[in-house]
Amino acid sequence: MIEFGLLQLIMAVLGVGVGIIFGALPGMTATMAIAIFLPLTYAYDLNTSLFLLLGLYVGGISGGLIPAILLNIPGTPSSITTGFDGFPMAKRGEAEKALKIGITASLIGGMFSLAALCLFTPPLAKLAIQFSAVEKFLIILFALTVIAALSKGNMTRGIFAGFLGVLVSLIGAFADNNHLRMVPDFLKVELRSGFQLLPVLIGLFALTQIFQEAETGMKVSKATYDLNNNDKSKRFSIKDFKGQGINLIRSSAIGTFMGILPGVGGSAASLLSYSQAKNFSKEPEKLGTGAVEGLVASESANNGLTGGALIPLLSLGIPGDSTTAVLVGAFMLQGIQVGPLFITNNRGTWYTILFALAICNIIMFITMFYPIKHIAKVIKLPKNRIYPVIILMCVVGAYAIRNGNMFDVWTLLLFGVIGYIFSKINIPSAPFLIGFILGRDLEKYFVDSIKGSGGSLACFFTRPIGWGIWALIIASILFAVFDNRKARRQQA
Amino acid sequence: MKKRIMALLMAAVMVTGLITGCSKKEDVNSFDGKNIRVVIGSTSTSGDSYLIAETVSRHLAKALNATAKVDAVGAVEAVDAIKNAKPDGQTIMIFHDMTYLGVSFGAYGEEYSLENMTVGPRVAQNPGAAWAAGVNAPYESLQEIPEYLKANPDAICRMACESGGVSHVAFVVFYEWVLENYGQDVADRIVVVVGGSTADKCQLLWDGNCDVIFADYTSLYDYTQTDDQKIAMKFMGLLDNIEGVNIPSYADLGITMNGEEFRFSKDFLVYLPKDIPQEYVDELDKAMETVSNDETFQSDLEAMSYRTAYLKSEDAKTFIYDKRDGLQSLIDAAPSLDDLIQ
Repeated sequence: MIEFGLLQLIMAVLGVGVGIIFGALPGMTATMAIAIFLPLTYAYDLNTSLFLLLGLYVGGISGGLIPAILLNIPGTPSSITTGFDGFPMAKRGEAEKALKIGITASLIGGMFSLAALCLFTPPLAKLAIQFSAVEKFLIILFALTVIAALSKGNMTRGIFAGFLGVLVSLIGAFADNNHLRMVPDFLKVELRSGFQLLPVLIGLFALTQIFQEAETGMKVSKATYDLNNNDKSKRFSIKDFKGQGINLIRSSAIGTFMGILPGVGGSAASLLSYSQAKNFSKEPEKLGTGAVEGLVASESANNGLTGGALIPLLSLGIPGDSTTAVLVGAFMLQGIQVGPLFITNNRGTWYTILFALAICNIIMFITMFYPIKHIAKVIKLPKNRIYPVIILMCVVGAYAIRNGNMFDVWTLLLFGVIGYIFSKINIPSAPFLIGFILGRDLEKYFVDSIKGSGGSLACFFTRPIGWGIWALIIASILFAVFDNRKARRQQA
Repeated sequence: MKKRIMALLMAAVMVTGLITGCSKKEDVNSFDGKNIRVVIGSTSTSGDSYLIAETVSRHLAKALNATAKVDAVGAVEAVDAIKNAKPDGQTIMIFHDMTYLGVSFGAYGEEYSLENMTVGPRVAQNPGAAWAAGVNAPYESLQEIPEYLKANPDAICRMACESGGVSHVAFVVFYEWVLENYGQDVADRIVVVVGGSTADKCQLLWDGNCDVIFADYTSLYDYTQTDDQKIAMKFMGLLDNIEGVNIPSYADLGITMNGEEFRFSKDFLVYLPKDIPQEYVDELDKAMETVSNDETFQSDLEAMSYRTAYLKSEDAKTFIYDKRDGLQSLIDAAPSLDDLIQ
């Protein structure tokens, strides 16, 4: 029996609202929002708290698209690819349209993953544990191939930046023996867990952009983007999704599946679905220039993650991502063990989770879709007023990531400068960031695979699922190489 | 008129602010009315460190008339926060044996040793550390592993544990016991697979990349009850007995350390900055004693298979120093995990 009344509705609305704010603020994430609200689980019973916590989860994942589209600053790591096409759309006066497409794609992705959670949890969980460290390593490698796809016309520099990102991600302690790597003595406390992702991300995207604008000067105080145009093609219409059916299903499925695989995060989901959207596109050259296809792929995948990540959590006790790992705490604080018997022993809670997830997705859609035209006006604010606010928000966000760690603020500034230097020497920042995001997982699953095989590299070539992923990796690289050649020929 | 009312209101707010601000007891050595940051040595909010710290903080805050917020910052960050915090009662740490084990195993430096902080009361214990194997493993307990290896000269047993943590201690005790009682050949065939989180270790077991894993009893319990052969597990032994749980501990299995009975529960203590005035410690002792006698607190911990284990600061200090020193010789003599990896 699902207990749903006014209190639960308020909790869901509050959760989604706060989650959207956390997702939209650079440096704040859904994980952080849930961690902050976790102690509230005591004040209310678990079922009521679930509406709040799942609201925070759905809202937190969805809110990231707002700054990604309007300011080219991903609010969350999983919305990096949203800005690739969303921001160019905003620049050409289609901010509201881009936001509405993103929100609708998020709803579809969320509902797709909810259906998967509802209907196929046991078989999908069984499938997930067939994916050993070897397959996870190959999937991360597959996600890395997006670097090649993004570096069209500039592949050598793009790949260099990607590898540099992987190298930088490995700075810090190696978990298996606690030895520090590439860490100077005077930073051995601050850099023990390496550079934190969010300050690096915000630095590279937000600060770099502001430094560049500062260099050219902000004499044009207002952005030139026109929101109130009467051009119908620049307004959102459901027809924008025409021809996107397969893309939506594929991307939602990729997002859901990546959520199911424990330890493979949301960033990998949106990167992978974006690269597949590009590979399958009839006009791949348009992705990255403001194509609806790219936006749909990114947003449906990162919301597809929500239901997906709950599958291994609720059926195996293994969280699918960092946010669901925090949710375990909510159950534990109530004395409920999440494991293979959870669904059997807690039917009521299970149905509440399904219902709450559906409600939260709908609330997310309503609270974002209708007021978004007002939020979109942020793009019209004068740059000399909005940029100081952005810097302030970035600094506060970076400081808050580890509950008041000043080193994260220095990281933010450092990577802002690094991104600025990259732009001067024509090294793309996005591949660097992708390498940085995936680097640690790449190493972890490589080392875990080697541990299991007793040191033999043959393990990467002997598993049937692995062969399939190898085929996708090779196809993806070949596609990117041919696309790159074509682009260079066109440039010539 | 409106302006006058506004001005009057503003003035009233300012005066109230000034009065309450000035009356704040900053110079009194008490937790009363303060915001306490409770750092823990883990970044997870689902592990025993967070769950115990959160439960203790919630009850302790009431008893101290303060507000407490748990910050899951990680091991080095937590000990560093305590080392550098002002002794003003606004930062405390609640953490388990990793506090000193990190130094003992060399994970972090001597500057973070117990001597450089003030030991507060012991607040709780987690006795539930356990070894588990796949349900079809050819042994039923830790004791049977060396017997199995002795009977099967080509067999090996791969045990997953973490470097520098409680599982490292548990492994070293078991390894040394096997070495002493079954000889080098059998001990050599017990190899280490270094794992991270419980999820990582479960995946290693399900992938067939290890044979026995170390984790919390509660986190593994469901896997011992399922019929799904792919993920089903059985317990091989506990580090210490748990009330009402019929699984043998090291002591029951006769696994000894240097010939003596070995029991190990994770002891959670409050740690404070080194030069904190004694008044804080006394206040904390008094509050924690009250909290420990509270039945709601006891049942909150029991619901998560943890237990109250109050020791006042003075006794807790003697206890934790003895525990650390008792393990140091074992850690010094034990082979490095690097040498025991397959």
